[in-house]
Amino acid sequence: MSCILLPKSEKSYQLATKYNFKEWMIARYLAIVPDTEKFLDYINNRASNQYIRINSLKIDIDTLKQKLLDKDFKLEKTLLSEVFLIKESKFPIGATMEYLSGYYYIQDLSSCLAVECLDIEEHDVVLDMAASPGGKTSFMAQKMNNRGMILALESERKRLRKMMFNLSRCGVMNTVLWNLKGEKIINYDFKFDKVLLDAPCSCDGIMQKDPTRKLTYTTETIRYCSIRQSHLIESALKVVKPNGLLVYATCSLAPEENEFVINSIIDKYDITVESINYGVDSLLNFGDKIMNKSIKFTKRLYPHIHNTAGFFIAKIRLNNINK
Amino acid sequence: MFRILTRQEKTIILREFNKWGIFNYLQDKVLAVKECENSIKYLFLIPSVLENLIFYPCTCYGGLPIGNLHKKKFLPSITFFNVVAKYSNNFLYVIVNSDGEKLILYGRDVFGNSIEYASPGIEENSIILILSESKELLGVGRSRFSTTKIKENGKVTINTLLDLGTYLRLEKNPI
Repeated sequence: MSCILLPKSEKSYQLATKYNFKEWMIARYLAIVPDTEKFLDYINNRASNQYIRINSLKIDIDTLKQKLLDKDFKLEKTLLSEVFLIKESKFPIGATMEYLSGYYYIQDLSSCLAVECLDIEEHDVVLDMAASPGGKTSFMAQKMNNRGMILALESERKRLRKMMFNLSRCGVMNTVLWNLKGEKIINYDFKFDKVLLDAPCSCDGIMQKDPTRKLTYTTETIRYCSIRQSHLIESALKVVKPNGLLVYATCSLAPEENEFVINSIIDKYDITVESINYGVDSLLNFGDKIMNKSIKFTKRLYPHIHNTAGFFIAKIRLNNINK
Repeated sequence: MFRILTRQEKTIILREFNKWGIFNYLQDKVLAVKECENSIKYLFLIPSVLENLIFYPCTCYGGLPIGNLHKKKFLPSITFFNVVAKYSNNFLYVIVNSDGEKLILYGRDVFGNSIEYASPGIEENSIILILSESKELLGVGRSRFSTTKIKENGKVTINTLLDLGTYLRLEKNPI
């Protein structure tokens, strides 16, 4: 799926110059992101928020909260009871005894919301298709109270190490990690109650955290990612049990990697796109492309509106597979 | 590639679980070993329900990494001692103050004046768990002195063998 380029304008030129972006990116953001200038201002001039997710496999929420307050951390509640925004801390949050003990995981709220959408139950059989560094996997294990089973896939060998470190630190027991491309799971005879596909993407939603993405972001990246994502989501649908759930997420703002991917499977499979209680409605059209109406149930999160990374989440229930 | 343990390997591991008072923790779990090119055998404790996912060539991790086997000797990991600290009553330990806690997380040895409490029965060269004031596992060490002398001022009285910082220092190559 090629990247759609939109006409440039006086406004896109001004904003591209002011915020040091490629103009074609700004032309697209003007059509995608509500209140675009505020968004650009926010991601250019503010440090990204730091969130922690308390790991109830190792400690209960109130006990850890108290320990961190005793160390002069200032925490703010979020939509999820396990997740807190760090307003202030005297120590680097990745080097405390509590972090090393696996009492918390440093993880953006948007990632946690994707897991929340999976409606995980204790004895589920779950597939995490692109798992490293393991934040979502360990949150799922936490929701399952280390019961049931999780199969986590990671294709890049160098990313496995970080994942193993995080799983052992967090006391995750119900997970097996395979060094395998997500697409290849269809070669094995397994079916899953829930599948999480946090797909590899162009990552412009985390530009606030990593400004170098401004330079590396190209139309080719979008094209490559959207093709890979289409293959991954088709594989995911083939291994979900009937009535099972698939959550598709990316930290990209590009419609080609989000709405277009979901749109492409709606007519092909007997699925229902279920509504999500977080974020704002996704795009029903982009360029000359008009989306299926049920795309409105998928959601987008924006840094300047939701104080998270830019994120897309779709919750899909499989009724029956019929190619 | 993962495989089940040989009878001899299993005996070695079961003895260790028994010695540390966590034999019952093995219930509903299987032991598996992953042999690497560097000839180290990594040991994993895996819930029985995961057994049919483990023995595939693409498996690289599963359950809890409890240590490794080297020349018929079991070298437990910090994760193993986390289980001991949580489920056993059968271990020697010291409790250290907050200054000691910081030093241990950097892999430093324990000074006698950091120790607030030492359990009875510690002898020279005992393997002991090092706990924080709120009794959380910080590390594992080898004592240089017995219980009566372990709090001696100004001297290193415990050599730290493993600590929670190991997680961070081994992040680049944990298994």
